[in-house]
Amino acid sequence: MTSDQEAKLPRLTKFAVYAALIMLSIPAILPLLWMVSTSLKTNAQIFGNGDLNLKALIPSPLETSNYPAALQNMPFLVYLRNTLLLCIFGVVGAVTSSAVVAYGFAKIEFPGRNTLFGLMIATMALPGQVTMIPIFSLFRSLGWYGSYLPLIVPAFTASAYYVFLLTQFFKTIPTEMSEAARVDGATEWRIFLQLIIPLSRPALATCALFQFIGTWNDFLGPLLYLNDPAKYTLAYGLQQFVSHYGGFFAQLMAAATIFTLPIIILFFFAQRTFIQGISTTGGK
Amino acid sequence: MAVNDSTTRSRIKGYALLALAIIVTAVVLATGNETPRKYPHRKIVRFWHRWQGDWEKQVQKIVDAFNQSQTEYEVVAVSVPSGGSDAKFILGVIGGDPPDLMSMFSGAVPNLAANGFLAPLDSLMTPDEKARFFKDSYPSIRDIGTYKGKCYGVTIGADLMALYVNVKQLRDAGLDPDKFPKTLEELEDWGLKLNQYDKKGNLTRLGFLLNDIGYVSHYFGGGFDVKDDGRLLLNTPQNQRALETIVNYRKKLGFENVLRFQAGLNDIEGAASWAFMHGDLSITYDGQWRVEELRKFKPDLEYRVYPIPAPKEGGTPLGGLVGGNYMIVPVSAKQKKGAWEFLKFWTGLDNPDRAATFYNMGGWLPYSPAVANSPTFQKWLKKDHQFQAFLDILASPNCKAPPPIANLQFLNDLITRAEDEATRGDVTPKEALQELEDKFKEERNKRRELGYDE
Amino acid sequence: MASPSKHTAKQYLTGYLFISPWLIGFLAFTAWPFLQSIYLSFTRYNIVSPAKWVGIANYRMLLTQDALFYKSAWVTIKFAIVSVPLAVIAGITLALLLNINVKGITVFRTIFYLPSIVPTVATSVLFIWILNPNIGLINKSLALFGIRGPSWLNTSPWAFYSLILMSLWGVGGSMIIYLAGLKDIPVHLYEAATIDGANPVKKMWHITLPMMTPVIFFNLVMSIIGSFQYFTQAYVITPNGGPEQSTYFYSLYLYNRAWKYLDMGYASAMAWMLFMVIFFMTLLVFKTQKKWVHYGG
Repeated sequence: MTSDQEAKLPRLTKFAVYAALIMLSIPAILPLLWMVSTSLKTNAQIFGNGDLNLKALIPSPLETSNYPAALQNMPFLVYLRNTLLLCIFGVVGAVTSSAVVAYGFAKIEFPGRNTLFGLMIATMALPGQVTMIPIFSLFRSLGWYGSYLPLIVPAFTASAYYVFLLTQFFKTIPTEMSEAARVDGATEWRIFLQLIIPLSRPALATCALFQFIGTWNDFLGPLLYLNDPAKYTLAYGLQQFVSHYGGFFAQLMAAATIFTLPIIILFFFAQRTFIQGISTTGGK
Repeated sequence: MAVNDSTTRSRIKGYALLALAIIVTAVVLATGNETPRKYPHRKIVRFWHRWQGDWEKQVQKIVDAFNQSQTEYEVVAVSVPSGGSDAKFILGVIGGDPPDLMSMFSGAVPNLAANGFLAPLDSLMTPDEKARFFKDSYPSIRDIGTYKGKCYGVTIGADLMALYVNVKQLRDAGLDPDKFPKTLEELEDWGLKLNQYDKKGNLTRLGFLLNDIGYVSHYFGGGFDVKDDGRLLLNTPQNQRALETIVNYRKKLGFENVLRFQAGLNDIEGAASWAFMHGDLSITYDGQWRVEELRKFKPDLEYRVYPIPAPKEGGTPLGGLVGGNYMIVPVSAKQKKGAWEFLKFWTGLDNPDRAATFYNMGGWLPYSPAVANSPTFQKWLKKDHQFQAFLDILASPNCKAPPPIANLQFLNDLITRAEDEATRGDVTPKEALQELEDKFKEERNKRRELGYDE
Repeated sequence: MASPSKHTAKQYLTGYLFISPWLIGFLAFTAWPFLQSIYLSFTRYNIVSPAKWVGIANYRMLLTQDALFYKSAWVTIKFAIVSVPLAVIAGITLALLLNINVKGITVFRTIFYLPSIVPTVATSVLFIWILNPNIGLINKSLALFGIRGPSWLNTSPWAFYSLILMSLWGVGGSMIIYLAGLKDIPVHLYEAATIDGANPVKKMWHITLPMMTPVIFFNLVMSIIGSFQYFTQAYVITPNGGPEQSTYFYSLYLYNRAWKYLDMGYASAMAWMLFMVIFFMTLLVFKTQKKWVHYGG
């Protein structure tokens, strides 16, 4: 199956493909459609015992008041600014540091490499609950409590997840290429920057996307380390809608939709970057 | 492979510039990230709580009222979302930089108190205030904050349960809502009459549902308690009877049927999904906060509130179990005095009438009869006269506070599990309670072995 | 060409330099908390007072005096056994399907990735709502066919199945990684195969899948680690462990022990036992690498 040009498939296959896609996407998208449609209803409409038909999915009349209400219920722009700040730092930090570390593990032979790699993977195996207190105490004794530092600095020290992922990708790049470059006298750093990186754009973009989404959605970090409402993030604001003492369902759905929309748009347009075909097959 | 030095160098320069730009932007953005103080010259009192949405707004009004009423302190309130608030509150306390006042939910408070993390509130009161506070408050509200004789928490927003009755559905079934049953057995009969089934025999409307053994046990003269001397009152005859009543009634309805309705009683969606509100339950019992919710979401629903009637024999009328938000002051708080002043203001120790407004805003239970009898409260009561039932329960001697033990949460989970197993028919009520007591004893022994005090 | 010893020394240094960001982070932010939590597992620690050494008491009690330990472990193992293969197969299949460049494929890719983007808090609330036995979407749809849907989250084993279904719903994340891996496969391999007269199935079996094994390996390992630590949805939807404790996952029990009962020493012991299991399983999978993972290098 070629992936670069549009597939020239026989009609029947194309039909089958579309049929499969549509059928499978229904369960994927239905809950989300429900979320959006709920956000456009009043509470009475949501909990009335109406029949299930298309009408239930498309509310009429459209109640758009939930959106301004949701926006009013939290300092949206402030949260947005804070969230973007954390996301940008997170992405830059995570991608650069993880790529560098992954190159070390994947392409350089040095004693202790496998042990350290194993150690790194092992760090993912311990549930975070029990290290929460020691980590918290650590940050507190560093004086970082109440600031963004606990949320930003660790991103620059490479995450095991991304390193593991990138290692897998880097390993698929033939060693002959880097060997040839080494013979030419290039330093590892140069090989890394000029050879490996350009060939790994899909993987790097995937990491960037995941990190962005992860930071965007992270609410526990801000909850634990921040005390000033002026520093809070969108994820935190969303969580405030969900609680025993007064969550409002329609507004929650509106808030969740607002919260998710930027990511959807980001993903849709960024697709090309990491699903871009590697046309320079000769270079491989 | 051609290596181009100048391109690399310029590329590196480009990256460096970008990095610099990011850092500068970050620094610029990071400042101006602080909420400005309204009264910066005053002593700050930091207050963490768990109320969200509309409730948070009420709390903020109270905070504003306090700030306007005096000039020494400024209370700054922060609302913490419930998911993860356990961790945040506890970390705040042990982290050495706690707020001055926190609202915590039952379980952890005895534990914190036992380990010296809470400031006993009575040490913050003047002798006169102390005398008045302990004399004035409703007994259960006073008890709920007490640990080993000292007062560690004041409850604002205590929770109580009573019956909500759908007047229209009763009348339609030929039952008179004004002549409400005086015994539990009679109530069960009414419940059965109110059930509605569809053609296939499935329950479509549930007349009455009795659950929550921790609460109901107080109507049978029971209750789950751990005495100071270590005596366990868990598998008592009264509790057994209570659980049996719950289970037998469930059998009459059919376990499966009830399960389906219980799913609707799940609170996560928030107020508006309450089964009572859309007519799936005729008589149910729930907390006093529902009064406000009904007024907001379904003002046209005609309903009454009655205390749960006690069983014919051996019943203790107007029984109940108080739960709710404790207001506590961490021992390492920097502004304890200010915290107490705010608390005093809110509860209404000095000015019950003014405080009545606050209680009414949230539909909260007052801490003392003085507040309940104040003119403002009485006026509100005339509008929301359903609330009277809760006040009656609160004043009754059968209304109790949960046992102040360090692993209260563990006990609560055991109680929930026992009820769950018994009502599903996996075990008999007697076995369920026996298992409860055994497991609790086992846990207690484990704790003793590990060196905990209790 | 440089002499071998100099080569190794330089590589040694370069290697460590490259991994230094992680190494520094590990030493600064990870190693100490890890060591501390090991220490805590041998203590009685209720967070609010200093930890007191109790030796292996926690571990002993876990293994001999805690029925819930075994129950929650079993729930988690069941979950892992079912969800990991499901997730891997579903992820690969979906990626293969979404790799076909028909018109509008970008829209479909977005649709399938959406579930992973929506914050857990919203999806959990959404699912509770959808699975509501009376007014929920699923049972209302089933009613159209005359089926009386069960009380999903309230009855066992349906609660457990609901959570498995919810985990499948988030397969879009791994799908992206597979897609990135698929695009990495050099086109000329396919071209050569076509010339040789291979059909699509043969191409998939001999080219696509083998070339994808590095990312399959990644997703397999992460799936295992993730499923053993499965927590968030269970916590939001069934914080009490579900009907008859059928969804009382190990991590949920751990959380309750740690933060609800303030029994952090005990919880630390639980965490380290989980660690050993995950570590062992991951090690096993790594050892099988040579047999089936094919690196292009």
